[in-house]
Amino acid sequence: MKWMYLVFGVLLLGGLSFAMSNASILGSVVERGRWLGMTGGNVTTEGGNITGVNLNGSTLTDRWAAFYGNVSGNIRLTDSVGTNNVYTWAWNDSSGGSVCFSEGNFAWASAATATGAQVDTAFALGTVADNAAGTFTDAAACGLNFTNVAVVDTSAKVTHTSPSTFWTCAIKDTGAAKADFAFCTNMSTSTAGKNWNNEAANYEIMVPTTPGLGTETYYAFAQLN
Amino acid sequence: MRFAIFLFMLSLVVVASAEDYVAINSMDGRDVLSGIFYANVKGLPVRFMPVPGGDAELFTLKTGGNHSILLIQSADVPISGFLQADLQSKNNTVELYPSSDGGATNLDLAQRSGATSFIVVDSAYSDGAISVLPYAAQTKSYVMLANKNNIAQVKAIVQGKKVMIYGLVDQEVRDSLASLNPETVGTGDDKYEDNVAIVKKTMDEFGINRVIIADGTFLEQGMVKGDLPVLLTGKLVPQPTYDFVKQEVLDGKLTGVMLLGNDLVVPIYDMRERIKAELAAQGLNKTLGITVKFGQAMPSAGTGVMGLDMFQMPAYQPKLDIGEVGYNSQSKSVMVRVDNTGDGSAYYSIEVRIKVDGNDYKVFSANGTNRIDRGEQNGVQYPIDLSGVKEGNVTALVLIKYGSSRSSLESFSSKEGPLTSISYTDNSDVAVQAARYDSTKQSVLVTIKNNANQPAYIFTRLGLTMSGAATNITGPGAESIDPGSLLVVEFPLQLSQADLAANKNVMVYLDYGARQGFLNKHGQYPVTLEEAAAAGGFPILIVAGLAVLVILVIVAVAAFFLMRKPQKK
Repeated sequence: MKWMYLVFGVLLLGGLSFAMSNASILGSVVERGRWLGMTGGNVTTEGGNITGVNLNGSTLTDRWAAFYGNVSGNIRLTDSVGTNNVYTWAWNDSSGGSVCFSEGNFAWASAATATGAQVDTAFALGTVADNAAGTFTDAAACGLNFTNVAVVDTSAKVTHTSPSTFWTCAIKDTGAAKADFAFCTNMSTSTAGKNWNNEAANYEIMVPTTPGLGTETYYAFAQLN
Repeated sequence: MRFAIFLFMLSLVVVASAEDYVAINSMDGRDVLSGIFYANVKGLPVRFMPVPGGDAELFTLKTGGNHSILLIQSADVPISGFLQADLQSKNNTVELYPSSDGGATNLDLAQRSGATSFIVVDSAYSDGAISVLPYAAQTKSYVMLANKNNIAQVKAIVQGKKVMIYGLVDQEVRDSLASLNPETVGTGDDKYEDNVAIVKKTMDEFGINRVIIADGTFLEQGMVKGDLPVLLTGKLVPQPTYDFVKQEVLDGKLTGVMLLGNDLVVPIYDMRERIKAELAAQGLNKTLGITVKFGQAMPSAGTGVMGLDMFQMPAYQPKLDIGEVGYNSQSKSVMVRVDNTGDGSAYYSIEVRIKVDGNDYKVFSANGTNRIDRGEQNGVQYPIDLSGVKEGNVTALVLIKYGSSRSSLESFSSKEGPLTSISYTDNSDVAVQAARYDSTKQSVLVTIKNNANQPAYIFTRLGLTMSGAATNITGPGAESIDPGSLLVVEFPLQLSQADLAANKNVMVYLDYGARQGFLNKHGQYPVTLEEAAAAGGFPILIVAGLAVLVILVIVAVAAFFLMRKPQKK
């Protein structure tokens, strides 16, 4: 019977190779591959040169969290040779600016002064000692400047406890929802700015969190002078 | 009774479609875009799973509970397999919409959306879809990803509705929709000019004074509602984009721009400062704000500051590299090779700075822009005699700016280093020997011989008549031929009998040279187009396969007789 296996095997092998030689890859394989998320462009989803670190597990109290970090003074493309010859101006942290955290697409063109009471209402912080009205008690002006919109005075400012060199101001656009508020500070150079732990930082900001709500998402924005 | 059943079924359909939230869980960018277009037509919030970094738990936290969710999920490549269960665990009702084909899903959701207004863009790349997304959101239009293969289905859906065609689309798409009298935005000649046209239209019609600036290679969650138009740029700001921004600032119509991530901080900051300086020179104190959205955090979830939720998209991006820089002491010239390593043709401009001890000795620059085809290598030479430089460190700095159209150079590449000295004389000599059409392979095969005793590099083009029109076809790229050898260059083409009759003779154009990229010699060769015998009309593979089978059968039969044991009598 061995000869039968041999004959069958040879024929099967021949038939298989014949079938494979005619196999083809057709259809939308190429287009679909192009549209797959991982094969797209060159964007990085990391914070990149602007970095942030959460402060001490993020929660100061059940109503406040804080963020600090560095806005690199060396935001450059990887090709430094070309960069030097292509661009005339380059931003660095001594150029200045501000950093803000907001829960949505804040309308920067409408930025205006907020009050602690307005923050308390929007974030349901309640009538407690560490609500916004009880926190934003610094009477000095913030002096935030968003290029075409200046918020030179505000009634919602808190100066952070030493050794931090930062303060936070609350601002709002035309609405009254949580996403209509932003919490900002002016950038410091990394040599001048110190965070809560006396470490070099470009910014440190306090933001309110609604007690018992675990789904708030804050977005970080830098305004470049 | 039948009517009652019909009403009951109809009510089920209505209930099934009564979603109040759209979630997208797919690696296919077409699913992501289609879900966004659908949600915006219906006026619903929409969230997509980002990639990389998609996490079902965080997604569910951001979505919240008590929603009726339409979950558009890839049947083959979802980003997470846990999302549906996680959403349901938060008291959400989930209708699963499985997508097995992004193109089909785009068409199907168009119908389901009930849209009465449509924008048709090309399906190959994402630039068009991202450009029109805000206008579509503002006008509650659904965006169709169209091409010549699906245009009949697209037309059936948009027939009798309001239609806009944006930018570059297949000619078949344009022709097919012509009878619907569509509005046209953009010519398709330059994607940045087209983009400026739709951004301006959006700003003017809806009184918007801020824009997002992006390179078109990704979606970010903040883009999906279409509140702000998306102005496209590259690592260099293309001239049409720059001119538009400057004019809008001058007119007081643009007060600020938003960047998503850090990639474009340098070019946009540079653009802002240039505009500011130019307007100041005119005595005008006008500028625009730059906001960089650079991270996100969920304090209650203890996440720290994370990257933004993004989804990468397939925008067309030209890619040129500087392959070689050297000084040829024989020809007394500096030689630079530019390589096109991208997916398509590109235009570039070049500047070469020769330095001695770090100081500029001679600066060369191109007049205008050059075109370079996909896979092509262009050698550029500038005359300079460095024999007089006896001492000193000679270096070269080469900078190329390039882009997808002549007026929009949106990228750059540079190379700096010691100037290597080389010495050679180009004695290359090649000739076209034959051209043959192979109907089985549906290709024209051009045979080229290297007659010299040194390697040659060639770039081939074929000139012939197709459908009655003179047509030039570019070869697959620069190729090398060894001394005295033959090279067959293949042009995949389907020629009809009429085409063959019209092409008894074709013209072959050669750019060639002895050094890679420096194809400074040119020749054109009229040759007779022969037609290959097609083996009785059977494809060669089939014929060869049958021959192999016959041989195998013979071997098997022979083996049978040889290995058969003698039977005992």
